[in-house]
Amino acid sequence: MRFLVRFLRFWYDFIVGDAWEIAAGVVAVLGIGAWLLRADGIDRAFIPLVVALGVGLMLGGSLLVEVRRRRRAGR
Amino acid sequence: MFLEGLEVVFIVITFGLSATRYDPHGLLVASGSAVLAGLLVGVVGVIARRPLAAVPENTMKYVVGLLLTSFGTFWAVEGLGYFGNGESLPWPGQDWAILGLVVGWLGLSRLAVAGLRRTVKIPADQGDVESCAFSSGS
Repeated sequence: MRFLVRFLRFWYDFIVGDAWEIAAGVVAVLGIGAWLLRADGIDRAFIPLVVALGVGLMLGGSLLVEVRRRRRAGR
Repeated sequence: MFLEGLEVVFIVITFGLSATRYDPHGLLVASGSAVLAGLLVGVVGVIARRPLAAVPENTMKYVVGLLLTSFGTFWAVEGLGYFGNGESLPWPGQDWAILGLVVGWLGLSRLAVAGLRRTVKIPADQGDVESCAFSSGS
């Protein structure tokens, strides 16, 4: 049982890390990209740029939220 | 060290399996190439150990983090093609897009560092926020 917990813990740390919001955000942006890929009338050349911009915005936003959280906590 | 090794294994298996569509020995070629690359890096590391030792560890982590993030973004988007027609989703500019991603992530990380400098109190003994921000945990 301990081995299983350590095993799952390792993969959680490897994939998610210490900011689950970023991992969830990346999955959400990729999900939007996959949805755009199946949508009609969307230029496929446009999708990589949307996803890259989305990941960048999401990461920048997460950083801002974290900084504000720390400032409120006085750290 | 273990995490970096695991990342290499993932990359080699992914590339190798992908290459088996064109060459039945794709996985073998990818594995052999990884071993050769490891040997080459080891030899270069021994030869150039003095200048390499002068590079600050966090600076190296910062550069590696930028490269991993850029390649990760590139491959993740290409992999989205699985949900379309099953083929890789091409980037505008093909592989040159990696360079654009490196520049983009570098710009974003510099903005983040500049923002953090103004907003986060940094203890005197941890003043190297420039190299700490965006450094990977691996």
